[in-house]
Amino acid sequence: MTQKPIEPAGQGGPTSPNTAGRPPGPIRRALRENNVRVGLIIFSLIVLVAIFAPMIAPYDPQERLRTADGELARLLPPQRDYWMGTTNFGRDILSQFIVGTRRTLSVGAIAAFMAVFIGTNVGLIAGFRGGRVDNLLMRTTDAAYALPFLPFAIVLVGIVGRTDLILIAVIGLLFWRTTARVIRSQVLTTKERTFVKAAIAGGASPRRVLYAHIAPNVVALALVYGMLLIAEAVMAEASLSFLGFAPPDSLSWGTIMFDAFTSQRMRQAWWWPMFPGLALMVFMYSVYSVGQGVQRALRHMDTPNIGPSTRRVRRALKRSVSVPVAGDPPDALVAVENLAVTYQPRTPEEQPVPAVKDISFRLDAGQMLGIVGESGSGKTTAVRALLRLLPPTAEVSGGMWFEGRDLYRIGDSELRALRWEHLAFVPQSAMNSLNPVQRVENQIIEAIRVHRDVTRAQAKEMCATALQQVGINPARGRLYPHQYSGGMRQRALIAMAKVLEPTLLVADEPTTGLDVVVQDQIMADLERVREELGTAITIVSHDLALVSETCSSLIVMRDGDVVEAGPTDRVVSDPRDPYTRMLLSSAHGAPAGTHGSTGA
Amino acid sequence: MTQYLTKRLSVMLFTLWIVVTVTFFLFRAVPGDPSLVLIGPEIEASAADSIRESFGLDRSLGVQYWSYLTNAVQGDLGMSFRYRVPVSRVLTEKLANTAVLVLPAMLIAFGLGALLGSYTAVRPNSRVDRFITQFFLSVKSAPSFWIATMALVTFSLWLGLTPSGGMTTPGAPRIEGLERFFTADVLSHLILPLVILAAIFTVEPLLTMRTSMTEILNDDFVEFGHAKGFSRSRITLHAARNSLLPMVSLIPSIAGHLIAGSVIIEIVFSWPGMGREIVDAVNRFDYPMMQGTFMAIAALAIMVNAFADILYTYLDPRVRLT
Amino acid sequence: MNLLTKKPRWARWVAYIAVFALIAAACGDDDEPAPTAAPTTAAPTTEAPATTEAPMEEAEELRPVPTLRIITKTAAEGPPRYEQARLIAESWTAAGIPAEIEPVESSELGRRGFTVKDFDVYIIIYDPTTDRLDPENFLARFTTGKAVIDGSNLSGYTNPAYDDLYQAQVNATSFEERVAAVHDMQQLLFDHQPVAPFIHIVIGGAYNSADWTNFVKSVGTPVYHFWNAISLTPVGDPEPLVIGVTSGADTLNPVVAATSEAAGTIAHMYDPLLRIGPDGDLVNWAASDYSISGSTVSVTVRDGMTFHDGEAVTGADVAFTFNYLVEKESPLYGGRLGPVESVTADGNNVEITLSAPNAAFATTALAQVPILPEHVWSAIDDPSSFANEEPVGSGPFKFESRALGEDLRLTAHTDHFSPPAASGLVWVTFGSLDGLLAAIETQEIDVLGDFVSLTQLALLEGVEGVSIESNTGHGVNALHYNMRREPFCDLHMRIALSHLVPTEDMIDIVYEGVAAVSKGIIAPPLWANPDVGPVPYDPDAARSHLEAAGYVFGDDGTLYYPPSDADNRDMSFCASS
Repeated sequence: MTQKPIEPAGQGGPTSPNTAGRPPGPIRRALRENNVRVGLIIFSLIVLVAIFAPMIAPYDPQERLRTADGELARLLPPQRDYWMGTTNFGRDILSQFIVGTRRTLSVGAIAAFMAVFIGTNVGLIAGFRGGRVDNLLMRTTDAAYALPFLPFAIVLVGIVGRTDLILIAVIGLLFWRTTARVIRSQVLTTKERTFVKAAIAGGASPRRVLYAHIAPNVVALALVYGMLLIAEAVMAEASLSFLGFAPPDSLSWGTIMFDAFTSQRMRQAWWWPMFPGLALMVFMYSVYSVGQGVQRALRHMDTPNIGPSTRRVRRALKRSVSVPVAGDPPDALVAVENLAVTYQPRTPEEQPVPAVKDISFRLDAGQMLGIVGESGSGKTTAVRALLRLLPPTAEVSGGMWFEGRDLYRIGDSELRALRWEHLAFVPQSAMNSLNPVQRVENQIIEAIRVHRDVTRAQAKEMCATALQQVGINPARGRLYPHQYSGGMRQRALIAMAKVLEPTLLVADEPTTGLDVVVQDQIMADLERVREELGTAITIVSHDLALVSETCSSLIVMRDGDVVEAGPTDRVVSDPRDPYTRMLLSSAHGAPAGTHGSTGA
Repeated sequence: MTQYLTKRLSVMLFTLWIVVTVTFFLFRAVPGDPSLVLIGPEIEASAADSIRESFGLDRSLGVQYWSYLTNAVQGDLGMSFRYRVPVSRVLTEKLANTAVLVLPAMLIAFGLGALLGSYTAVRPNSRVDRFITQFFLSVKSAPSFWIATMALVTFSLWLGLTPSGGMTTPGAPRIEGLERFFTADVLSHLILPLVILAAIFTVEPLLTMRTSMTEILNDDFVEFGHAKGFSRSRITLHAARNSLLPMVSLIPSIAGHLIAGSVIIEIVFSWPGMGREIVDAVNRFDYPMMQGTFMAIAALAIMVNAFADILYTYLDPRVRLT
Repeated sequence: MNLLTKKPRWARWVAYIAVFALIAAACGDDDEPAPTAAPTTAAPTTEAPATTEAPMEEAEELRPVPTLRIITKTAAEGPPRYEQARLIAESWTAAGIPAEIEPVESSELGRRGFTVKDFDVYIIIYDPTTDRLDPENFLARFTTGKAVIDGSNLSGYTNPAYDDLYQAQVNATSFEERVAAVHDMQQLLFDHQPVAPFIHIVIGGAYNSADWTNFVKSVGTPVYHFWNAISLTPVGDPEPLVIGVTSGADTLNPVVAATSEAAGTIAHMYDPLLRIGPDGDLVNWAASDYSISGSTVSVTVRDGMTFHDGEAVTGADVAFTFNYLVEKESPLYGGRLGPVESVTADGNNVEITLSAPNAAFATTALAQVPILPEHVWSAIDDPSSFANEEPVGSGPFKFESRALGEDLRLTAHTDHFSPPAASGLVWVTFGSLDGLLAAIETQEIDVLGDFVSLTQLALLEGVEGVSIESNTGHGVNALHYNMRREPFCDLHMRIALSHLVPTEDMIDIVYEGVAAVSKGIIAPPLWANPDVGPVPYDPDAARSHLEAAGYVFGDDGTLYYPPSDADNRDMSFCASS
C-alpha cells in the first residue's frame, strides 16, 4: 500500500520525542502553509500592539479632542490627525482601538488559558485512562458545549453583575470541549508510542507517565487551541459588550462598537464601528486560518481519491505512457507489456517512488495467475494499474490490453461499461470496501442495476443466487457489513464480483487475516467461479503456498521487479531465483496453520 | 434500540433535573434582595414588601425549591416580575418566534454546508473551493452584530429593500395561530436576519462536511465504487451520505451556537424572540423571566443533544446495537 | 521537554498554583479597580505640616478632604449621564477638589441612592414624566419626612422652614397661595444647594406628518402624549396610530403597575376624572365638574359614560377605585390617594374628604388615578396575581390584543365622549433606539414613543414626511450632594461645587448645543421662580467660597478641611447618616 500517506505521527514512530528525523508534527506541517504563517504574523502584530499600546496610541483615549479652531473634534471622518476618525464626544478612535486591544486580548487570553487548562487536563486524563473515565468525561464535554454561550453568560451577568470574571468563567467552563477532544485523540496515539510504553514498563506512576511523558507531546497543540480560544473569547467579549454587558469603564474593541451603536450615529459615522469590526474580523480570520491549517495537518488531509477524470488520465497518458507501436493488439484476454509505475512526490522535498519497474504477462480465459510478493513489492500497484485505480500521482508507462482494448486509451464511460461487467475486482480490505451504512444485498443489487437494465426484483434474485453460491444465506443480505464475519464479507465481495459473470476477476489479498478453514473456502469459491464461468482470475497474495495450490502460473515480485515468472509447477519445483526459494522454504518450514496470518 | 432509547432519555431527564436545581440555587445566590432592584426614582421603598410577598420571596429556601420543582414539572415557571403573567406563557410565544428564525437557519446552514462541503471536497484546492471556504470563513470571522447592523443599514436604510426590523409591519392586522408565521409580511421581515444567521453558521457544517467527505473519498469503498464501474456522481452521493454522520454530531453545538447567535440577530433586527427576551429580562432584573428563559434554553440544548445522539444511532447501523 | 520531564512533581503543582494566583490577580484587577485612598480611613498625611501654608504654626494636622466620588450610570447604560459625570469630575479636580466618577449599573445605582444612601454625589436625570408637571414630585424630595434612609430625599436636606412651606403649598386653597409657597421653596433650595440642577434637556419627538394631521402641541413630551393619541387624524382611510417604543408597558394592571410606561399606556384605556391639558392646565375629563373647598372635594361624573363592556360609569366606581387602590397599596396610585380620608358616592356625585386641605390633589390624584370598573375588580382579592389581560376601562381606546414584548393593540372606543380620530392605537416594541429611529424614518411607525433628547433626532432632520417637534423638558439633570456626609454638609462646599459644574461645556459636548441651562429644579414656565438661579460656572467664586470657609488648598492638589481655629463652615440642615 505504498500509495497511502504516511501514517499519523506517533503511530509506530521513533522511540523518543526528541529523536531527530521523526516525521514532522502537526504544528510544523501546518507551518508550511502560507495562510498559517500570515495568520501567525497578524496575531503577533496584534499582540505587539496590545503590549506597546500606551506608546503607540497618539492620544489619550478618553481625551475630548479639539480641532485647531477650538471646536470639539466631534464625529470627524478618518483623516491625517485621526486615522480612524473621532467619536461623538471628540475622542480619537484609533487611540481607543489601540488601548482597547489590551483589554480585548488580556480578557481573551486569561479566559482562553482557563479553557485550555481545563480542556488539556480533561483530554489528557480521558485519553490516558480510557474506559469509564473517558466515557464520563467526554459526555460531560458534549454537555458543556451544548449550552449556548451567550444566554448563559447574559444570565450570569444578570445575577452577578457586569464583571470580566463572568466572561472568563463562562468561557473557561464552556469552551474547553474542542481542546479536550483534540488533546484526547493526540494522547490516544501518543500513549501507544514506545517511549511511553517503556516508561510504564519502567514502573513510572500513571500520573508521572501522563504529565511527564505524554503531556509535553501535546503542549504545542494545546497552545494552538489556546490561540483559537483567545479568538473565541475575544469574539465573546465583543458580543457581550455589544449587548451592553461590559464592565463599567472598560475599553475594548467591543465597547467601541457598542458606543458606536448606542450613539445612534451609525449611518452618519460609518467609520466608528467599521474599524474595530474589521480588525476583529481580520483577527478572527487569521486565527481561524491557523486553526484550519493545524486541523488539516492533524488529519493529514490528502487529495481525495475520486478517481482520475478522463481529462487527468489523458494528461497523464500524454506525459508518460509510451505504448509499443506493435500494430495489432495482443490476442490474449489480458496482455501487460513492460508496465512501470512511479509515484510522483507531493512535495518538493520528497523523491519519486518507483513502485513497479517492469512487468509483463498474458492471461487467457479460464486461467488463474498468482502474483506473489511481500508488502511493498509492487504487486498490488501492478494490478491496480491494470484496473486503472491508481491515484493521480502515479505515473504509468507500458501497455495494457484487455479483450483487445488498450485500457489506457479508452474513455471514462467505456471503462465504466467494461468494469464489473467484464472486469471485476475483489479488493483487499473487505470491511472497508463495503459501504458501512448500506445493507449488503443493496450493495450487490446496486452494482447489478448500474450495469444491467433489470428490475429490482430480478436483481434481488440474482443477488440471492450469488450469495447462495458462496455459501451465504440470502436472508443475511439484509444485514450490514459490520454484522458479518471477516470471511463472510470476503465471500460477499466474491458474490458481488461474480454476479455479472465477468471475464476477468482480480482478487487482491483475498485471504488476508482469515483463518485457515475460511482461507480454503475462499480459494474454493474462486476456483468454482473459474470453473463455472470460465473467468480468468488474478490473485495477488503474499502467501506463495496458498496460491500455488490453485494457480496455474505464478509471478514473484520483489521491490517492483519480477524475479520469477512461469507455470506454477515449474516455479515450485525448480525456483530459479534465491528469493523465490526463500519464500518457498519459509512457507514449507512453517506449520501449515500460520500461513497468511501476518498482515500485509 | 428501545433499551438505548430509555437509557438515553433517562440520562436526559437526569441532566434536566440538575439544570433545574443549579438554576434555582444560582438565582437564589443573587447578592442582596431582588425586589430592591425595582426601587428607584419611580417607586418608594415601602412598596418592596408587597413585591417580595407577591413573588414568594419571603418563604424558606427549601419550601421555595420544592414548590419550584413541582411547578417546573407542570410547566409553571413562576410569574414574570415585569409582565405579571406566567413566565411559561411568555416563553411559548417567544420560543415560537425564535423557532421561526432558528429552524430554517439551521436547515439552510446544514443543507448549504453539506452541499458546498461535498462540492468543495470533490474539487480540493480549486479556485471554487478556495473561494467558498474563504468566503464563509470570513463571514464567520466577522462579529455577527457588526455584519447584521451593516446589513440592516445597507439594505433597509440606504436601499430600502427590507423592513427595518420586527417580525411584522407595525400596525398590520394581527393573525392568530400558526398561520401568522406564513404571511408574505413575516417572510419579508424574516429574509435578512435569516440569510445572515444562516451565512454565519454555514461554515461549520461546510468544513465538517468537506473534511469528512475528503476522508471518505479516500476510503476503500469509494475506490471499490470505481472498480464497480459506478459513475462519479453516484460515488459522490454515496460518499456524501456517509459523510453526513459527523454532521449529526455537529447538530448540538450548532444548535447551541445558533441560539446564541440569534440573541444578537434578534436584538439588531428587533425580532421578538427568546434572545431578545433574555437580554430584556436581564436589563430589567426580571429574575423569574431570566430563570425561565435560561432553563428553557438549557433544556432545549439538552434535548437537542439527546435527539442528535438518537439520530446518530439511527443513521449509523454500526453503533445501533451497541 | 527533557527539562520538563525531570522536574519533580511538586514543581508542577507550584506552577499550577502560581498560574491560578495570576489569574485571580488579573481578574481582581479587571473586576474592581483598587480603591484609591479610601476616603474615610485615609490617615493624615505627614507632608501636610510641611506645606508652605501659613496656618500651620500650631502644628495642627490638617485633614484632607477625601476624593469625591460621583456615582453615575455606566457608559453602556447611559452615555450622556456618564459623560456629564466625567465632565463634572474633571472640572472639580482641575479646581483643586479631587473627584472621580464611579460608574455602577442602574440596579446598584438605585440601591445605593434610594435604599441605603451610600454615595457622595449622585448624578441623576429626572425624566419629564406627566406627573412631574406638578412641582409636588420634585419638592417632596427635599422634605424631612423623606430624608429617611430609604426615602426619596437623596440629598438628606432637613429644614423645618422648608417643611412648613411644603405643607403650606399642599394645603393651599388658592393657586396664588400655592405659587408663592412653591417659589419660596425654590429660593431655599437655591440658597442651600442640597441639589445642583444644571440642565433641562430639550425633549425631541417625531411623527409621520405625511399620513397624519391635527397635531397638538403640549407641555411635557412634544409628540407622544394622550392629546395626540386622540387628535392625530389619518390623511387617508381610517387606520390605527402606530407608536414605536423601546420599552413597552410591562403590565396593564393599574393596581400593580409601577413604571411610567405602564401608566402612560393605561391612561389611554382608563379615564381619570381630570386630565392635564395640552397647555398644562387641568381640564375636566370623566368629571363634568369638580370643586375643592377646604378639605372637601366634590366631583360629578360625566353623564352617559360607559365602560368598554357596556356598563355605565358611576360615582360608585370612583369611590370603589379610590378605596381599592389604597387598600391594595398600588405603587403608582396608592401614595397619590394618601390624603384621602373617605369617599362617598351618590349617583354620579362623589364627595371626597381629605385629611387636610390639599391644593395639589386635583393634579396629583384626580388627574392621574384611573377609574376602575367596580363590577370587574370587586371580585379580585389579590390583584398582584391578576394579569388584567383584557382590561376593561372607559377610555377612548379599548383593548384589542397584546403580544408580550411585541405589540399592544387598542381600537377606538367610538362611544366615548371624546372619540379618537384614529381607528386605534398600536404600541410596537423595538429592540433598540436605532431600530426605532430607522422605523420612524421609513415611516413604518407613526409616532416616536421614547423620551429622547432633540440631539438624538438630528438624523431625522430633513426627512420628508417626518416632523420633528421639541419642548424644553420639565425634567432636570441634577447632582444630589449627600448632606449626611462631611464635606457635603457644609453649605460653602456645596455652593463651591455647584459653581464648578461646567454647564455650558456639557450642553456643548453632550447635547451638541441643544439644551437649556437649569435655573432651578422646577423648569419654567409653570411653577418656576423666575428670580432664582442659576449658579453660574465660576471657578474663582468657588475658590473664594472655599477659602472663606477656611479650606486649605495644598500644594500637591489635596484639599484640606479648615483648621479648627479658622473653621467657618456652615453645617446646618443636614440629616444624620
